[in-house]
Amino acid sequence: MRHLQPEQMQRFLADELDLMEREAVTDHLSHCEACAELLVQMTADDDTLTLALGIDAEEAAWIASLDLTQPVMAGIRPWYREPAFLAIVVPLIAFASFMLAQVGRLLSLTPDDGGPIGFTVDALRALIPALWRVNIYLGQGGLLRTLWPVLLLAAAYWFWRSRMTSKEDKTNA
Amino acid sequence: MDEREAIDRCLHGDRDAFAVLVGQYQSQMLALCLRMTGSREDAADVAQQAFIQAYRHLDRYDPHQPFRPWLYKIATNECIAFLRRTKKQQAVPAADDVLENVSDPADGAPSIVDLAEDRERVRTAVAQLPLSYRQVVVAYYFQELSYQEIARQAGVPVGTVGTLLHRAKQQLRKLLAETEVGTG
Repeated sequence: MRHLQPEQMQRFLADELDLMEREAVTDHLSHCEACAELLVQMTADDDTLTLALGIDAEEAAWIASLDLTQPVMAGIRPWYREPAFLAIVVPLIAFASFMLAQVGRLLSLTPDDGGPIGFTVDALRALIPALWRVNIYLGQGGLLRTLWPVLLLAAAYWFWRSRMTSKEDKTNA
Repeated sequence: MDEREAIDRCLHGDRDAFAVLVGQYQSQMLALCLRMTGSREDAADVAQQAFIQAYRHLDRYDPHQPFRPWLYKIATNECIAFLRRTKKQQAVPAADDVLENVSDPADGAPSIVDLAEDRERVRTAVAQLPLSYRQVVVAYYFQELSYQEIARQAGVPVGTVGTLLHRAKQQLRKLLAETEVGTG
């Protein structure tokens, strides 16, 4: 007599056989003592594994003692608060501010001699008159001349954040 | 706030709503990661990382499907990635090796019941299983998933699940027999 395959019996135990296969296996088991015995053993093995892999009292206590909320919430901070992002962007902003201040300084020092530089200066003055005036005005303060672009960016960021927060509040409401 | 509402809020930018989902599922996630990694310290780290991954990929979650299996799949994948990264895994033996070294109880070889003296020994043996075997053993005996669900989670055909499960049990018998010889 051909015995059942262990894989087939495993599927039988898991109730994963279709109706015809199930009937064939049940029929075989009813008159094959060896397979019926093996099935009992496999059932016991399955029970042992289910019991062994279950969570015991000690593990349950350990699980209950943990709270993942804090570390997870810290881990899902928005991209603009990621340390890597800040590490790149903050020095970039500082550098850009410095360069902007240097441009402002150059503009204020360059004589209007009508040459190529003078032409560029005039063009810039015409293009960004407001910016030019602000730079000249703030330039009286020395340190402010370097910092004002940073302050401007910070104000823009603050404005954007407040808009985002109010949008989130509206969504939550 | 229920699960569905929390997911909706997260998708609309309310990060704080994710705390509700963490609170709801952290026990199950920790238990699953504990069984997969076999270490409490690793389980806590991996479960935390799995939640973070779930949040980042929440837009890919199909709201018409149940949330728990989706989360479990992420956790299982995180466990596998962690175990691969840290090399805390055994190579999958060729099918012939398993059959050569361990015979089935049908051939008179001792069963898992005969070899398993205590739960800890079985757990240690499960933690030594190759990843593909461990994944199906944990999914079937611990998570109590169906073959279909295991197949979906492991990314294998349904028919392969039974084979993997059978080979995993053979390998478990071998590991348990080895530890018995070692201690005996």
